[in-house]
Amino acid sequence: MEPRTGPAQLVVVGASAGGIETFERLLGQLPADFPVPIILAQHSNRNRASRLAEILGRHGALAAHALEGTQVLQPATVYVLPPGYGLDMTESAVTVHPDRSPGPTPSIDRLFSKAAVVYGEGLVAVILSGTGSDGADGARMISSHGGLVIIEDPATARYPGMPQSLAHSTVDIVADLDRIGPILTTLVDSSAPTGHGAERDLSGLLDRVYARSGIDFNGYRRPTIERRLRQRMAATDTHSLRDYLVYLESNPEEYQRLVASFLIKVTNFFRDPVIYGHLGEAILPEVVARARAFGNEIRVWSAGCATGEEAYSLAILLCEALGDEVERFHIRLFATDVDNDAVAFARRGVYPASALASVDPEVVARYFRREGGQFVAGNRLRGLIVFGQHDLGNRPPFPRTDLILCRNVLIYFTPEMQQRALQLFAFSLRAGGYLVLGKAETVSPASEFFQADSQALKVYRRMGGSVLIPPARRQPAAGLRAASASHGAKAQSESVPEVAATMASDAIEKLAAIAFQVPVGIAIVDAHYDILHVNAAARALLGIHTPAIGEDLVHLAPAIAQNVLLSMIEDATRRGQARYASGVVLPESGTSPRRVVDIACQPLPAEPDLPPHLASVAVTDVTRYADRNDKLRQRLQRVQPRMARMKGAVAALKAANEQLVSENATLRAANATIAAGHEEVQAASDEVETLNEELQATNEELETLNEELQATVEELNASYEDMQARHGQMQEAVTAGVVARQTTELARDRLEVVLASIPVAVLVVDGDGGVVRSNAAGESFMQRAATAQAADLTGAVLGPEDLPVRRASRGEPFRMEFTLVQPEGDTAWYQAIGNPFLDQGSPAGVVAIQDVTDTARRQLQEEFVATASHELRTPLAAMRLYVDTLTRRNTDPGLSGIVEGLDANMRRLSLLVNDLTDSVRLQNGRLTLHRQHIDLGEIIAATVAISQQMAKGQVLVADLPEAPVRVCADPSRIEQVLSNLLDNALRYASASPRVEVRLRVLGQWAQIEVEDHGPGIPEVELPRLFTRFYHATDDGRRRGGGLGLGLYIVHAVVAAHGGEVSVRSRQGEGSVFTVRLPLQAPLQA
Amino acid sequence: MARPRILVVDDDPGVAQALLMVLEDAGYSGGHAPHGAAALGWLEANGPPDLMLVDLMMPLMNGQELLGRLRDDSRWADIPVLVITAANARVADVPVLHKPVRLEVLLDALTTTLRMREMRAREEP
Repeated sequence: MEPRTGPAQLVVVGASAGGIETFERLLGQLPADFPVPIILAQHSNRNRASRLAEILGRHGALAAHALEGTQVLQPATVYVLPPGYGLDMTESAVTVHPDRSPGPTPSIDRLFSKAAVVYGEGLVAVILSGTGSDGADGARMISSHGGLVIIEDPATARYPGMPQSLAHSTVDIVADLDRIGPILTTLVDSSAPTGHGAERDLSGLLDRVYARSGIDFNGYRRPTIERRLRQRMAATDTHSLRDYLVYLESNPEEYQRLVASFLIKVTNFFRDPVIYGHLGEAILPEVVARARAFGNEIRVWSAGCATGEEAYSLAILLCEALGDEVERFHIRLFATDVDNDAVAFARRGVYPASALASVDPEVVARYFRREGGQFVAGNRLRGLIVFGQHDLGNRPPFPRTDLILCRNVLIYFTPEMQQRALQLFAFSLRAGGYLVLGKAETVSPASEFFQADSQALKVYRRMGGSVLIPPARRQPAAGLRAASASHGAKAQSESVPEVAATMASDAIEKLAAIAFQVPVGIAIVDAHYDILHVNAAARALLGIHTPAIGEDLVHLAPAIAQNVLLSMIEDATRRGQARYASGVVLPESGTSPRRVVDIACQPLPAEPDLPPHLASVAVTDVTRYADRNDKLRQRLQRVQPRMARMKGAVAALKAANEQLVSENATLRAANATIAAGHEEVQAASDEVETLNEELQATNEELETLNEELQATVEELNASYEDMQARHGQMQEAVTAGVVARQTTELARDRLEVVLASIPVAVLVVDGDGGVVRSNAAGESFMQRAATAQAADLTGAVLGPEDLPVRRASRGEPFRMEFTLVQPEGDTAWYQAIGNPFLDQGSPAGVVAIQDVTDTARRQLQEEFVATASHELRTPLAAMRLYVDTLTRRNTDPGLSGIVEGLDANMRRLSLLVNDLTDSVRLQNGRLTLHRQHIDLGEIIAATVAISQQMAKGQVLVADLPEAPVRVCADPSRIEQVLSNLLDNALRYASASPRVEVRLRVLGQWAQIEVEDHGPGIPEVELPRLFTRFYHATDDGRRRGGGLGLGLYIVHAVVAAHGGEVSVRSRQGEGSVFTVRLPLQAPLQA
Repeated sequence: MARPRILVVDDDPGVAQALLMVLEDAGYSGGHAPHGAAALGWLEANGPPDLMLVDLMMPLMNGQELLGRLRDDSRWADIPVLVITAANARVADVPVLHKPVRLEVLLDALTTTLRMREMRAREEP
């Protein structure tokens, strides 16, 4: 066979009623040099010889033959499959044979299925006009083998039944008949879709897809990507990559389709019986036997589970192998895929009959229930499987697995990504665990970690030394990877000390896994500020949502002032100086509340295996301490002026006192010498007495104030000392760590430091439930637990065996939430994560317990408000319909004022309920934006029109530019902002005859102004205007009712869009509210 | 032509009563079931209606579950459904009306849905 550049290609076409005419029209659009063969199948009477080939040959530019015997397929030729026949095929030839199966003939399903297997991604199938549903199952096969399915648009097809019968998820392109020919021609064109020198555009596109979907396809093979891209370009009628990029920009939903087309789904139940035979007969018995000896725990990972068939097949095998015993085993079957839609499908567990065709009907009956022609996986299977989205290129693995299946996944990866995935598996598998790749894979795992169990089936067992979790793919530095590779190599050559080191590093990994879950953010960066490692807490605190490895920390964390972080990292990496910054404020952003953090930046000691000049950046959330300090400071500030005043008063009184005393003395002297005027002297003396009294009283008040001040200052000092001490501890421990030489000890010390300084209780317990180690937070937790009653979230008291420490001591892996109720009634919420911890062979566990009281309270509040607004909206819904009906039916002009009043107040009530829910969500930082590219002018015009109806004699004027003003924003939220502002203007400035709304473009901003000519807002109130409950706390000026949430919501929504809102107003001259939103960034060519 | 039949599935008697009044007023014939399980019973007894208005939060069988049951049963899979809810919910592939809904919005949604269904029925060969 001649060498090919791409896979072999074939076009298959199916039709039933109305077929001949449509075939003619389709073929008429194809060029005479169409480079691919075409096979047609049209339903017709099996007893009547079809003359289709003859007719088509006469009309089209391509030669047409009826298929007979065995034929070699030629390009630019049409082959007609006659009725009553089926076919077998290879890449170059087909053989027809009589087919007497019932149903329409020739069978489009069987033609499609055969071609799908042989041609895979090289196949393009077309379903034209027709009735019935032949072809629907075949299309599913094609789609799952990576081929492309086109249907004639049912809206314009003569008979839409057949194209309509295809499952939505299997159809790639829907097109009018006249468009299908040109689409086919584009699809089979072998030149690159991207044109010359467009690699930059292509990776630009992939980067954009990555930014949007979080899935990075840069590692996929270019030919695969290009083929999929060509399909999407054909489907969207774009002819160059540039055109396609423009199309993407204005049709963001196309991103999803593109991503879906990149993710290839190749699965079936028990696909590849040989593998499942080996699993059932050799691998699972061994896994089960080992589990019996080690606590009946079985952990399996189906990596790249696509739509779940493999995972359910495995679960069936396990159930069959264990029989009734299955209940006594702790089975966890992790089934993951990078494609979220596929995972969602798998989670539902509903499959068409065709997917289960190759499974023994008795087995199907045992594990599935039938529902309306489909099969639903039963709870027995479903309960064993944990489905989740997971990217093998960027995420850490599941630990301690017995068996990993990863079939037909690695072939789509670049060699670099394949190596990462294999290292991930090596970390994940316990010693002796199985890795099943299946024969389609071409890679061989490194012999230092894997030993072949079956070369033919590509089944391996985990052997050899330990492995680190590989860094995420985006990391540029090779240092950490080199470290793990050389570590493995050494493990083989040096024996005893290295084994000890391996054991130590096992323990470190376990501790690292715990540290990974703690709320102290840790990032390791190099001298270029690039991130080598970052834990979950750091991501959460700094708002990093991308993988971020290899990216610049300074830019990824815009919340921290750049120059601060920059100079800290520079001092640590270039000058070896540790730096601390405390009380750094991270402002509230779209998804996270305002936080205050302490940042410690430490140089890491140079080690031979690591790149030079690294630094660790530790970020601690001290919001609670900082808030307390703020409060104390505020109290201090409040007291200070009073104190100054008192000091003044004391000075004045002292002066007065002195004067009086001297006067008194003078008077007494006068008294002695002048007998007359005795009464006057007496009166003056009395006055002195009273003044002295006043002085006394004032002094007393001063003393109390002084005491209060003193107490505040002491509290403040204590709190500072507290924080200082924690810094000291951290610094001390890190300094101690630097002195230590051994790499492993160093790492362990670092973790100790982390453990000591985190507010999460970490307890290591032995098999008897005794705490053998704990950190400071752990000790204080134990103290609190000793006096309290533990209960679950429903309030049911936990028995001693259900307490986290007991569970951990039994070696159970678990995650639980519970409360501690103190005798006086204080309740605190906790979350605990437990993991088994092998302590010199005897079972033990580690448990991490975090105080989640704040989160739990917030959640309760949010739930309460959600329930309350649901309850409020229900009667509102009925009232709304009654009022609307009343408005329609009312013919009495005397009543119309009342009906209008009802209507307006109903509307206000509805808005208030919405404001209530929104404000709680905003406060908790849980506002979700559904951003789209929108024209602000359009939205303003529509909102103004609606609000005009609410006006009582005022006129709303919209002043809009002619050209559209495009922003990327959530249209319903922007509408909410506008209607809140307009509502305010109409209500508070009811005397204003006009309210104007202006839209302008100013540099990078779209600016909206809402101006009224009402009474204006006093200057003193302006700063507080956008705060929550502004009205409720403002006693003097409740103008028109309302919760005072409107402007708070305006402010929060605009801020979440990256914009700003401001107000200028002068009393008596009206107000102008200004909203600025960033303009949509122009498409970068 | 007979009046189109619309089944209202809502556990709140106040809302159900208002909806039924509005439907009768607009020339539809209305039926009512207080939750998903009752709705399935109604369907068995009366056959498929022309449209269903389904609330989400209901006792015994909620709206989501009812939608799943309807999808899985070929007798009911073709009934057009509109969800009408007081929760901030989105439902896959089903249009959602948010309570409180304006009368004209409701009536528009009903007419459009019924017209689409009619057009589809005419296109079937």
